[in-house]
Amino acid sequence: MTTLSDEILLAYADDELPPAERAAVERRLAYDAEARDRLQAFTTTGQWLARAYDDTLRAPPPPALVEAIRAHAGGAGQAAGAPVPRPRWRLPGWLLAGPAFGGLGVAAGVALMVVLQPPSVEGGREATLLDATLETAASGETRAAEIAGERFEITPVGTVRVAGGGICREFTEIRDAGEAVTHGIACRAEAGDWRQVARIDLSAGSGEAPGFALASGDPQAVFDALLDSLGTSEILTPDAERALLEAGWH
Amino acid sequence: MADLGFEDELISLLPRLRRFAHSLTGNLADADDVVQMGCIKALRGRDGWTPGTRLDSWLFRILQNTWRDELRRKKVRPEGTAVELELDIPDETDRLGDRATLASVRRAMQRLPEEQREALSLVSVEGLPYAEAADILGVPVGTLMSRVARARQRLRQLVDGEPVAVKDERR
Repeated sequence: MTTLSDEILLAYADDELPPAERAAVERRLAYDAEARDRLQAFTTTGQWLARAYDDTLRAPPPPALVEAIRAHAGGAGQAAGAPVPRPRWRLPGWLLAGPAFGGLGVAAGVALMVVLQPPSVEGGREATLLDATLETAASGETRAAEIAGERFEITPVGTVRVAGGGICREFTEIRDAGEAVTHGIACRAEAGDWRQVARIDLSAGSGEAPGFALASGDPQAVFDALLDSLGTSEILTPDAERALLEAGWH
Repeated sequence: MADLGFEDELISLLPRLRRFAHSLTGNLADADDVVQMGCIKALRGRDGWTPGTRLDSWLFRILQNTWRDELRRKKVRPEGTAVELELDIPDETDRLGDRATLASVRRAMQRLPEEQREALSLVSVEGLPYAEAADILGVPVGTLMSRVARARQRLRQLVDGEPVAVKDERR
Protein backbone atom coordinates (compact mmCIF):
# COMPACT_ATOMS: atom_id res chain seq x y z
CA MET A 1 0.00 0.00 0.00
CA THR A 2 1.72 3.21 -1.10
CA THR A 3 -0.69 5.62 0.47
CA LEU A 4 -4.16 5.49 1.97
CA SER A 5 -6.66 6.98 -0.44
CA ASP A 6 -9.22 9.54 0.72
CA GLU A 7 -11.97 7.03 0.00
CA ILE A 8 -10.39 4.39 2.23
CA LEU A 9 -9.93 6.90 5.03
CA LEU A 10 -13.52 8.06 4.61
CA ALA A 11 -14.80 4.50 4.78
CA TYR A 12 -12.67 3.94 7.87
CA ALA A 13 -14.12 7.06 9.54
CA ASP A 14 -17.65 5.98 8.62
CA ASP A 15 -17.07 2.41 9.81
CA GLU A 16 -17.77 1.00 6.36
CA LEU A 17 -14.66 -1.18 6.06
CA PRO A 18 -14.64 -4.94 6.54
CA PRO A 19 -12.64 -5.98 9.65
CA ALA A 20 -9.55 -7.16 7.74
CA GLU A 21 -9.21 -3.89 5.82
CA ARG A 22 -9.92 -1.94 8.94
CA ALA A 23 -7.05 -3.60 10.73
CA ALA A 24 -4.73 -2.90 7.80
CA VAL A 25 -5.69 0.78 7.85
CA GLU A 26 -5.06 0.96 11.58
CA ARG A 27 -1.58 -0.52 11.18
CA ARG A 28 -0.81 2.08 8.55
CA LEU A 29 -2.26 4.97 10.55
CA ALA A 30 0.01 4.13 13.47
CA TYR A 31 3.03 5.51 11.62
CA ASP A 32 1.47 7.73 8.91
CA ALA A 33 0.84 11.19 10.34
CA GLU A 34 -0.22 12.62 6.99
CA ALA A 35 -2.99 10.02 6.71
CA ARG A 36 -4.05 10.70 10.29
CA ASP A 37 -4.46 14.38 9.39
CA ARG A 38 -6.64 13.55 6.41
CA LEU A 39 -8.64 11.11 8.51
CA GLN A 40 -9.28 13.86 11.04
CA ALA A 41 -11.24 15.90 8.47
CA PHE A 42 -13.51 12.94 7.75
CA THR A 43 -14.04 12.07 11.41
CA THR A 44 -14.81 15.63 12.45
CA THR A 45 -17.18 16.37 9.61
CA GLY A 46 -18.94 13.04 10.17
CA GLN A 47 -19.61 13.99 13.78
CA TRP A 48 -20.78 17.47 12.81
CA LEU A 49 -23.17 16.32 10.13
CA ALA A 50 -24.68 13.61 12.30
CA ARG A 51 -25.80 16.33 14.71
CA ALA A 52 -26.19 19.39 12.50
CA TYR A 53 -29.93 18.93 11.97
CA ASP A 54 -30.84 17.57 15.40
CA ASP A 55 -33.17 20.48 16.12
CA THR A 56 -35.23 19.58 13.06
CA LEU A 57 -35.22 15.90 13.98
CA ARG A 58 -36.46 16.63 17.49
CA ALA A 59 -39.10 19.21 16.56
CA PRO A 60 -42.62 17.86 16.26
CA PRO A 61 -43.70 17.92 12.60
CA PRO A 62 -46.06 20.83 11.86
CA PRO A 63 -49.66 19.70 12.43
CA ALA A 64 -50.60 21.10 9.00
CA LEU A 65 -48.11 18.73 7.39
CA VAL A 66 -49.51 15.72 9.24
CA GLU A 67 -53.06 16.77 8.35
CA ALA A 68 -52.17 17.19 4.68
CA ILE A 69 -50.73 13.67 4.61
CA ARG A 70 -53.72 12.18 6.42
CA ALA A 71 -56.07 13.98 4.06
CA HIS A 72 -54.32 12.48 1.04
CA ALA A 73 -54.07 9.05 2.58
CA GLY A 74 -57.85 8.88 2.70
CA GLY A 75 -58.83 10.00 -0.79
CA ALA A 76 -55.60 9.60 -2.69
CA GLY A 77 -57.38 8.79 -5.94
CA GLN A 78 -59.72 11.73 -6.05
CA ALA A 79 -57.00 14.28 -5.42
CA ALA A 80 -54.74 13.02 -8.19
CA GLY A 81 -53.65 15.81 -10.50
CA ALA A 82 -54.83 18.55 -8.18
CA PRO A 83 -52.22 21.18 -7.44
CA VAL A 84 -50.39 20.62 -4.19
CA PRO A 85 -51.52 23.30 -1.76
CA ARG A 86 -48.83 25.48 -0.30
CA PRO A 87 -48.43 24.76 3.38
CA ARG A 88 -49.64 27.62 5.54
CA TRP A 89 -47.47 27.30 8.56
CA ARG A 90 -44.56 29.25 7.20
CA LEU A 91 -45.29 32.64 8.70
CA PRO A 92 -43.98 32.53 12.25
CA GLY A 93 -46.59 33.36 14.85
CA TRP A 94 -44.47 36.07 16.39
CA LEU A 95 -44.48 38.03 13.18
CA LEU A 96 -48.02 39.22 13.80
CA ALA A 97 -47.89 39.01 17.54
CA GLY A 98 -46.73 42.59 18.15
CA PRO A 99 -45.24 42.76 21.62
CA ALA A 100 -43.81 39.29 21.29
CA PHE A 101 -41.06 40.80 19.14
CA GLY A 102 -39.22 41.81 22.29
CA GLY A 103 -36.20 39.80 23.11
CA LEU A 104 -36.28 37.62 20.04
CA GLY A 105 -32.87 37.22 18.58
CA VAL A 106 -32.01 36.02 15.13
CA ALA A 107 -28.62 34.66 14.37
CA ALA A 108 -26.98 33.26 11.36
CA GLY A 109 -24.21 31.80 13.42
CA VAL A 110 -20.80 33.22 14.04
CA ALA A 111 -20.35 35.29 10.95
CA LEU A 112 -23.65 37.10 10.84
CA MET A 113 -25.54 38.35 13.83
CA VAL A 114 -28.63 40.48 13.75
CA VAL A 115 -30.73 41.25 16.75
CA LEU A 116 -34.37 41.90 16.08
CA GLN A 117 -35.58 45.26 17.19
CA PRO A 118 -38.66 45.52 19.31
CA PRO A 119 -40.81 48.40 18.03
CA SER A 120 -39.35 51.53 19.49
CA VAL A 121 -41.44 53.29 22.08
CA GLU A 122 -39.95 56.76 21.87
CA GLY A 123 -39.60 56.85 18.11
CA GLY A 124 -43.28 57.63 17.63
CA ARG A 125 -42.93 60.18 14.86
CA GLU A 126 -40.25 58.23 13.15
CA ALA A 127 -42.63 55.26 13.19
CA THR A 128 -45.33 57.45 11.67
CA LEU A 129 -43.01 58.45 8.84
CA LEU A 130 -42.13 54.81 8.30
CA ASP A 131 -45.79 53.76 8.27
CA ALA A 132 -46.70 56.51 5.83
CA THR A 133 -43.75 55.79 3.55
CA LEU A 134 -44.27 52.06 3.40
CA GLU A 135 -47.99 52.51 2.89
CA THR A 136 -47.72 54.98 0.01
CA ALA A 137 -44.27 55.09 -1.60
CA ALA A 138 -43.15 52.85 -4.43
CA SER A 139 -39.78 51.15 -4.10
CA GLY A 140 -37.07 53.64 -4.94
CA GLU A 141 -39.12 56.67 -3.84
CA THR A 142 -37.80 58.56 -0.85
CA ARG A 143 -39.95 60.26 1.78
CA ALA A 144 -38.31 62.67 4.20
CA ALA A 145 -39.27 64.52 7.35
CA GLU A 146 -37.67 66.65 10.01
CA ILE A 147 -38.17 65.08 13.41
CA ALA A 148 -36.88 66.74 16.57
CA GLY A 149 -34.27 68.63 14.59
CA GLU A 150 -33.08 65.54 12.77
CA ARG A 151 -33.70 64.81 9.15
CA PHE A 152 -35.04 61.35 8.31
CA GLU A 153 -35.19 59.88 4.84
CA ILE A 154 -36.89 56.56 4.27
CA THR A 155 -36.79 54.68 0.97
CA PRO A 156 -38.55 51.36 0.37
CA VAL A 157 -36.25 49.13 -1.66
CA GLY A 158 -38.41 46.12 -2.38
CA THR A 159 -41.65 44.35 -1.64
CA VAL A 160 -42.38 40.68 -1.11
CA ARG A 161 -45.47 38.65 -0.52
CA VAL A 162 -45.01 36.11 2.25
CA ALA A 163 -46.82 32.86 2.91
CA GLY A 164 -50.39 33.47 3.93
CA GLY A 165 -50.60 36.51 1.63
CA GLY A 166 -49.00 39.12 3.91
CA ILE A 167 -46.86 41.93 2.52
CA CYS A 168 -43.42 42.80 3.80
CA ARG A 169 -41.14 45.59 2.57
CA GLU A 170 -37.47 46.16 2.87
CA PHE A 171 -36.40 49.75 3.44
CA THR A 172 -33.43 51.99 4.05
CA GLU A 173 -33.53 54.80 6.55
CA ILE A 174 -30.99 57.60 6.47
CA ARG A 175 -30.83 59.89 9.45
CA ASP A 176 -29.05 63.17 9.85
CA ALA A 177 -27.49 63.34 6.40
CA GLY A 178 -26.01 59.90 6.46
CA GLU A 179 -24.79 59.94 10.04
CA ALA A 180 -26.92 56.91 10.72
CA VAL A 181 -28.03 54.42 8.10
CA THR A 182 -30.28 51.55 8.92
CA HIS A 183 -31.76 48.85 6.79
CA GLY A 184 -34.91 47.09 7.84
CA ILE A 185 -37.89 44.92 7.03
CA ALA A 186 -41.44 45.73 8.07
CA CYS A 187 -44.61 43.78 7.47
CA ARG A 188 -48.04 45.29 7.03
CA ALA A 189 -50.28 44.41 9.98
CA GLU A 190 -53.24 46.53 8.87
CA ALA A 191 -53.90 49.74 6.96
CA GLY A 192 -51.14 52.21 7.77
CA ASP A 193 -49.61 49.97 10.41
CA TRP A 194 -46.28 48.45 9.45
CA ARG A 195 -44.47 46.42 12.03
CA GLN A 196 -40.73 46.23 11.95
CA VAL A 197 -39.45 42.73 11.88
CA ALA A 198 -35.77 43.53 11.71
CA ARG A 199 -33.36 46.41 11.40
CA ILE A 200 -29.67 46.53 10.99
CA ASP A 201 -27.58 49.54 11.82
CA LEU A 202 -25.20 49.99 8.92
CA SER A 203 -23.32 53.01 10.22
CA ALA A 204 -20.06 51.75 11.59
CA GLY A 205 -19.38 52.42 15.22
CA SER A 206 -22.75 53.92 15.90
CA GLY A 207 -23.76 53.19 19.44
CA GLU A 208 -26.97 55.13 18.94
CA ALA A 209 -29.33 52.61 17.53
CA PRO A 210 -30.43 50.36 20.36
CA GLY A 211 -30.83 46.68 19.99
CA PHE A 212 -28.88 46.04 16.82
CA ALA A 213 -25.63 44.33 16.39
CA LEU A 214 -24.12 43.34 13.12
CA ALA A 215 -21.03 41.48 14.15
CA SER A 216 -19.75 41.09 10.64
CA GLY A 217 -20.83 39.74 7.32
CA ASP A 218 -22.95 40.90 4.47
CA PRO A 219 -26.18 42.66 5.48
CA GLN A 220 -27.82 41.89 2.15
CA ALA A 221 -27.30 38.19 2.70
CA VAL A 222 -28.83 38.50 6.15
CA PHE A 223 -31.88 40.21 4.72
CA ASP A 224 -32.23 37.73 1.92
CA ALA A 225 -32.15 34.98 4.50
CA LEU A 226 -34.58 36.79 6.77
CA LEU A 227 -37.03 37.30 3.93
CA ASP A 228 -36.60 33.66 3.10
CA SER A 229 -37.31 32.68 6.69
CA LEU A 230 -40.54 34.68 6.57
CA GLY A 231 -41.62 32.31 3.85
CA THR A 232 -41.33 34.69 0.94
CA SER A 233 -43.51 33.32 -1.80
CA GLU A 234 -43.16 36.12 -4.34
CA ILE A 235 -40.90 39.09 -4.94
CA LEU A 236 -43.16 41.69 -6.45
CA THR A 237 -42.24 43.27 -9.76
CA PRO A 238 -42.48 47.07 -9.94
CA ASP A 239 -45.76 46.72 -11.86
CA ALA A 240 -47.28 44.32 -9.37
CA GLU A 241 -46.14 46.55 -6.54
CA ARG A 242 -47.68 49.64 -8.16
CA ALA A 243 -50.98 47.86 -8.68
CA LEU A 244 -51.08 46.80 -5.05
CA LEU A 245 -50.10 50.26 -3.81
CA GLU A 246 -52.93 51.81 -5.80
CA ALA A 247 -55.35 49.25 -4.44
CA GLY A 248 -54.32 50.00 -0.85
CA TRP A 249 -52.39 46.71 -0.63
CA HIS A 250 -55.45 44.56 -1.22
CA MET B 1 -56.23 -1.95 7.10
CA ALA B 2 -53.07 -2.04 5.02
CA ASP B 3 -53.50 1.60 3.99
CA LEU B 4 -53.56 2.81 7.52
CA GLY B 5 -50.30 1.03 8.28
CA PHE B 6 -48.51 2.72 5.40
CA GLU B 7 -49.81 6.15 6.34
CA ASP B 8 -48.82 5.71 9.98
CA GLU B 9 -45.36 4.53 9.03
CA LEU B 10 -45.00 7.56 6.80
CA ILE B 11 -46.00 9.87 9.62
CA SER B 12 -43.66 8.17 12.07
CA LEU B 13 -40.82 8.84 9.61
CA LEU B 14 -41.64 12.56 9.33
CA PRO B 15 -38.93 13.74 11.74
CA ARG B 16 -36.26 12.03 9.66
CA LEU B 17 -37.81 13.12 6.38
CA ARG B 18 -37.80 16.71 7.61
CA ARG B 19 -34.18 16.45 8.74
CA PHE B 20 -33.19 15.03 5.36
CA ALA B 21 -35.14 17.70 3.46
CA HIS B 22 -33.72 20.45 5.67
CA SER B 23 -30.20 19.32 4.86
CA LEU B 24 -31.02 19.35 1.13
CA THR B 25 -32.89 22.64 0.91
CA GLY B 26 -31.15 24.63 3.61
CA ASN B 27 -34.32 25.98 5.18
CA LEU B 28 -37.32 24.55 6.93
CA ALA B 29 -39.96 26.22 4.80
CA ASP B 30 -38.69 24.59 1.60
CA ALA B 31 -38.02 21.40 3.52
CA ASP B 32 -41.63 21.14 4.65
CA ASP B 33 -42.85 21.85 1.12
CA VAL B 34 -40.65 19.08 -0.22
CA VAL B 35 -41.75 16.67 2.52
CA GLN B 36 -45.39 17.40 1.88
CA MET B 37 -45.12 17.03 -1.90
CA GLY B 38 -42.98 13.93 -1.52
CA CYS B 39 -45.32 12.25 0.96
CA ILE B 40 -48.30 12.92 -1.27
CA LYS B 41 -46.42 11.36 -4.20
CA ALA B 42 -45.52 8.42 -1.99
CA LEU B 43 -49.14 7.90 -0.97
CA ARG B 44 -50.28 8.00 -4.58
CA GLY B 45 -47.51 5.71 -5.69
CA ARG B 46 -47.40 3.41 -2.71
CA ASP B 47 -47.50 0.38 -4.97
CA GLY B 48 -44.01 1.32 -6.06
CA TRP B 49 -42.66 0.41 -2.65
CA THR B 50 -41.77 -3.25 -2.13
CA PRO B 51 -42.73 -4.39 1.37
CA GLY B 52 -39.71 -5.79 3.11
CA THR B 53 -37.39 -3.16 1.66
CA ARG B 54 -36.45 0.00 3.50
CA LEU B 55 -39.32 2.46 3.44
CA ASP B 56 -37.02 5.29 4.57
CA SER B 57 -34.71 4.82 1.57
CA TRP B 58 -37.65 4.73 -0.81
CA LEU B 59 -38.98 7.97 0.67
CA PHE B 60 -35.56 9.67 0.60
CA ARG B 61 -35.38 8.91 -3.10
CA ILE B 62 -38.81 10.48 -3.67
CA LEU B 63 -37.93 13.57 -1.63
CA GLN B 64 -34.65 13.98 -3.39
CA ASN B 65 -36.31 13.75 -6.83
CA THR B 66 -38.97 16.20 -5.68
CA TRP B 67 -36.30 18.68 -4.64
CA ARG B 68 -34.40 18.24 -7.92
CA ASP B 69 -37.63 18.96 -9.81
CA GLU B 70 -38.25 22.03 -7.69
CA LEU B 71 -34.76 23.31 -8.37
CA ARG B 72 -35.21 22.83 -12.09
CA ARG B 73 -38.66 24.38 -12.08
CA LYS B 74 -37.92 27.40 -9.96
CA LYS B 75 -34.22 27.69 -10.74
CA VAL B 76 -34.23 29.01 -7.20
CA ARG B 77 -30.76 28.41 -6.10
CA PRO B 78 -27.83 30.19 -7.60
CA GLU B 79 -25.09 27.99 -6.22
CA GLY B 80 -23.53 29.26 -3.07
CA THR B 81 -25.82 32.15 -2.18
CA ALA B 82 -28.15 30.61 0.36
CA VAL B 83 -27.67 31.74 3.90
CA GLU B 84 -29.48 30.09 6.70
CA LEU B 85 -30.96 32.21 9.39
CA GLU B 86 -32.29 30.84 12.57
CA LEU B 87 -33.69 31.81 15.88
CA ASP B 88 -30.89 32.00 18.35
CA ILE B 89 -32.40 30.30 21.32
CA PRO B 90 -30.00 30.42 24.23
CA ASP B 91 -29.07 26.90 25.11
CA GLU B 92 -27.42 25.59 28.22
CA THR B 93 -25.61 23.01 26.16
CA ASP B 94 -23.89 25.66 24.07
CA ARG B 95 -21.08 26.43 26.45
CA LEU B 96 -18.49 25.42 23.90
CA GLY B 97 -20.02 27.24 20.97
CA ASP B 98 -21.30 23.97 19.66
CA ARG B 99 -24.50 25.42 18.22
CA ALA B 100 -22.51 28.06 16.40
CA THR B 101 -20.31 25.40 14.83
CA LEU B 102 -23.30 23.35 13.75
CA ALA B 103 -24.96 26.45 12.27
CA SER B 104 -21.77 27.03 10.37
CA VAL B 105 -21.87 23.41 9.17
CA ARG B 106 -25.41 23.92 7.87
CA ARG B 107 -24.38 27.05 5.99
CA ALA B 108 -21.39 25.25 4.54
CA MET B 109 -23.69 22.46 3.34
CA GLN B 110 -25.56 25.01 1.25
CA ARG B 111 -22.35 26.05 -0.48
CA LEU B 112 -21.58 22.59 -1.78
CA PRO B 113 -22.55 21.49 -5.28
CA GLU B 114 -25.96 19.80 -5.34
CA GLU B 115 -24.49 16.36 -6.09
CA GLN B 116 -22.19 16.48 -3.10
CA ARG B 117 -24.90 17.78 -0.80
CA GLU B 118 -27.26 14.95 -1.80
CA ALA B 119 -24.58 12.39 -1.02
CA LEU B 120 -23.79 13.97 2.35
CA SER B 121 -27.46 14.23 3.30
CA LEU B 122 -27.93 10.51 2.77
CA VAL B 123 -24.63 9.21 4.14
CA SER B 124 -23.58 11.67 6.80
CA VAL B 125 -26.83 13.27 7.97
CA GLU B 126 -29.10 10.25 7.69
CA GLY B 127 -26.38 7.67 8.24
CA LEU B 128 -27.37 5.34 5.40
CA PRO B 129 -24.87 2.68 4.34
CA TYR B 130 -22.86 3.65 1.23
CA ALA B 131 -24.52 0.94 -0.85
CA GLU B 132 -28.00 2.15 0.06
CA ALA B 133 -27.15 5.78 -0.68
CA ALA B 134 -25.49 4.90 -3.99
CA ASP B 135 -28.59 2.98 -5.01
CA ILE B 136 -30.86 5.94 -4.18
CA LEU B 137 -28.70 8.28 -6.22
CA GLY B 138 -28.29 5.77 -9.03
CA VAL B 139 -24.48 5.93 -9.01
CA PRO B 140 -21.78 3.32 -8.34
CA VAL B 141 -20.56 3.08 -4.74
CA GLY B 142 -17.13 4.36 -5.80
CA THR B 143 -18.66 7.51 -7.25
CA LEU B 144 -20.68 8.05 -4.12
CA MET B 145 -17.58 7.65 -1.95
CA SER B 146 -15.54 10.13 -3.90
CA ARG B 147 -18.41 12.64 -3.75
CA VAL B 148 -18.70 12.21 0.00
CA ALA B 149 -14.94 12.44 0.47
CA ARG B 150 -14.65 15.65 -1.55
CA ALA B 151 -17.71 17.13 0.12
CA ARG B 152 -16.43 16.42 3.63
CA GLN B 153 -13.01 17.93 2.85
CA ARG B 154 -14.63 21.03 1.38
CA LEU B 155 -17.04 21.32 4.28
CA ARG B 156 -14.17 21.21 6.73
CA GLN B 157 -12.42 24.02 4.86
CA LEU B 158 -15.59 26.12 4.72
CA VAL B 159 -16.36 25.74 8.41
CA ASP B 160 -12.78 26.35 9.51
CA GLY B 161 -12.40 29.24 7.11
CA GLU B 162 -15.51 31.22 7.98
CA PRO B 163 -16.04 34.09 7.42
CA VAL B 164 -13.24 34.56 4.89
CA ALA B 165 -14.24 31.53 2.86
CA VAL B 166 -17.85 32.70 2.87
CA LYS B 167 -16.90 35.85 1.01
CA ASP B 168 -14.94 33.93 -1.58
CA GLU B 169 -17.92 31.71 -2.22
CA ARG B 170 -20.25 34.61 -2.94
CA ARG B 171 -18.31 36.15 -5.76
